[in-house]
Amino acid sequence: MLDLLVKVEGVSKKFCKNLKRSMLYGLQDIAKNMIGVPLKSDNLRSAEFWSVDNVSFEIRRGECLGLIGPNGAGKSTLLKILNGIISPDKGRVEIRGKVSALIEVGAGFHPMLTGRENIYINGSILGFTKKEIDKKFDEIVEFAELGDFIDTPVKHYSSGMYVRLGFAIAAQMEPDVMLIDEVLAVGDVGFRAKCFNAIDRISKDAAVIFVSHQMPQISRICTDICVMSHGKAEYSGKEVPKGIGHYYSNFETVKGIVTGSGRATIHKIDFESNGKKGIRQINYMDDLSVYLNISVDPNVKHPVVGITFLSQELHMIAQCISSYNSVELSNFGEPLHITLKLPALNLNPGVYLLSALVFCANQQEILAQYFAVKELHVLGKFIGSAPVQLLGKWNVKHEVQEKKLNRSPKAVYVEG
Amino acid sequence: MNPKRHNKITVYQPNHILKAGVRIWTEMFRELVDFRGLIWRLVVRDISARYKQSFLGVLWAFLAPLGLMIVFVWIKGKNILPIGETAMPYAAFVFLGQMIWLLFSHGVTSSASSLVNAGSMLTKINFPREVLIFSSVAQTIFEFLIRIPLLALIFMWVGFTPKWTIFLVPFALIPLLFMLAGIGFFVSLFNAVIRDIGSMLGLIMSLGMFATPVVYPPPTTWPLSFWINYANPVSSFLMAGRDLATVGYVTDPINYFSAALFGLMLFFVGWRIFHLSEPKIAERV
Repeated sequence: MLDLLVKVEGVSKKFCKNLKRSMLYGLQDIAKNMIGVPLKSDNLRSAEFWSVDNVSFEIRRGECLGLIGPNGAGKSTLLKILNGIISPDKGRVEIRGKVSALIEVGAGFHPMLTGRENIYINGSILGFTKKEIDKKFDEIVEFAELGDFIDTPVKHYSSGMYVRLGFAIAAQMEPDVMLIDEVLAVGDVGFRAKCFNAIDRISKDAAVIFVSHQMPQISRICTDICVMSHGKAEYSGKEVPKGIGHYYSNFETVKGIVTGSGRATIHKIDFESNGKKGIRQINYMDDLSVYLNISVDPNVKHPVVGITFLSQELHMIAQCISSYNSVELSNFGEPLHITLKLPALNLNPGVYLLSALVFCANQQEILAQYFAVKELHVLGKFIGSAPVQLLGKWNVKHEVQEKKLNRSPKAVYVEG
Repeated sequence: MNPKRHNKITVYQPNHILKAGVRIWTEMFRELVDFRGLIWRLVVRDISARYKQSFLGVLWAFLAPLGLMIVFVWIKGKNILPIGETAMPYAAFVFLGQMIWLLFSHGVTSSASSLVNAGSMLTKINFPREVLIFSSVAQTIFEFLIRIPLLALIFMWVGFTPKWTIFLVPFALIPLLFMLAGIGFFVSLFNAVIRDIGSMLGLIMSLGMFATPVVYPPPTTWPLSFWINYANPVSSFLMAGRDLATVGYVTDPINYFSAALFGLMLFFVGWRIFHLSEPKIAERV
């Protein structure tokens, strides 16, 4: 089943930065509607800007589009246009079938009413009859795991419970098109996992548009990607990793944070590869040398030095620590020149940040931590979504022939 | 589930409603029918939510007209203001007048603020916005209906037996409902864009009660009689309602029917314009 469910052609939407002007334009638009003058919406009036600018894509049944971009890129506006909450100023949106949208959880909830009452209200807002909601009711309550709280006014719910109930309603309604804005982040880990399984299940038989800032989530569930920046679609297509790369390129400048007791100073951090110093890029599986120039308080006789690679979301990915490598550094107060060789660096192509830290092993004191101070681009073809790809020895047995297959790990990666 | 609905194609494009021309009316009525369940739910939701966290609950609907009635019965009794003779005992006269006036004024003010109050819903959920106006009207009808037993008690207390035609009063007020919905369409739209409208409306409604023969009998001297009895469409319904209770027929049918026609026209024009401007509401509210 690959029928086209969402077709977006050159959609644009403008907004006004100035409130008073926006009021004036609103009055003008209503007045024009009253006397039947068609609105000329395709050019900007003063103080207006394009919030969504000429965006096009298509989604078929069974596809999941990840909509990513920095804050203020126009993602939510686009979702609202798709949901018909606001109308586009240019272009055309065509949607087939039933839409269920999770723009903001609990938007239709009335705080004074119980969860049970709100399920019925929200269901009828989504266009369902009482009978249809009756049929789904138990599944919704079960999915939301609210238990007895279903008869408590929702104003006493926690934000996580709001999300649970909101998502449960939207998910159980068997939509053809499902729009999900950044709302799931509030739920706990267990519920988030449950939500993603639900989205996976729904997207098999529906078109899903999913807005998120969590790239691992995007690369896990999305088949298509659209990267927005300043209202424009920078990249739109099937190559999810390429899109994620585009997204990250929006955040070039990273300011490092220096913490620690101050009893050590890192004067210089440098990368070297293939005999070239001062590099910012390295090819996948090349050798990398990290050069550190540090000074440590002479009272610390045996400092421990470590480096950490971070993802752009500042998750720690890999570490190399001198003490773990059974290297004992001796310090006499003179500057130390350290070169750390990392052969065949197998970080997945992408952008990484480097932290360096010096600490005192026996006293558990961090002397200096330079967090996310250097950027390293690993170049190469996309291999897998995880940042570190393990090299294993593979052994595959065929049950019938009992024949051993040994492939060298290199060969596996060349193909990837 | 209805399989037909699953293949429904929705198109969003600029000014798409204008292009649809005459079909818009069928679309508007179909939406109304499709979403009748939601209207009902919103009515129940708003009424139950309003009275849930209050001890007096529904009694509040009685207190405002009752208080005003007591004040004016006192004013007339002490002869502070020269209020002329009324066709029914004064207490009943004021209370019935209040019921009809509040049906109108509360309906207009609550539908005017309905879009603004539903702000977060408007910007996050797609549903026909008319639903909010209709549910506001339904709420004011609910308040009117629960005041009826109190009116009956007041009739008994003052010893007034109305003509049987008093049962026709709710039907005679139906065009008034159309009128207030029509006004609600206009003002809610403007109130969504500029909030001044809502404050202005509150002022107009509190002054408007005195420009309508609610606490005094319709004036008979020109030009006051023209401005109050004829130029004010609410007066026509008010007088028709009292006529049905006291004399048994509408004494000035031309006045009544022209006001009814005006109300209907206002409703359909207002609805149409509201529907056209609907896609513009969410971005301005």
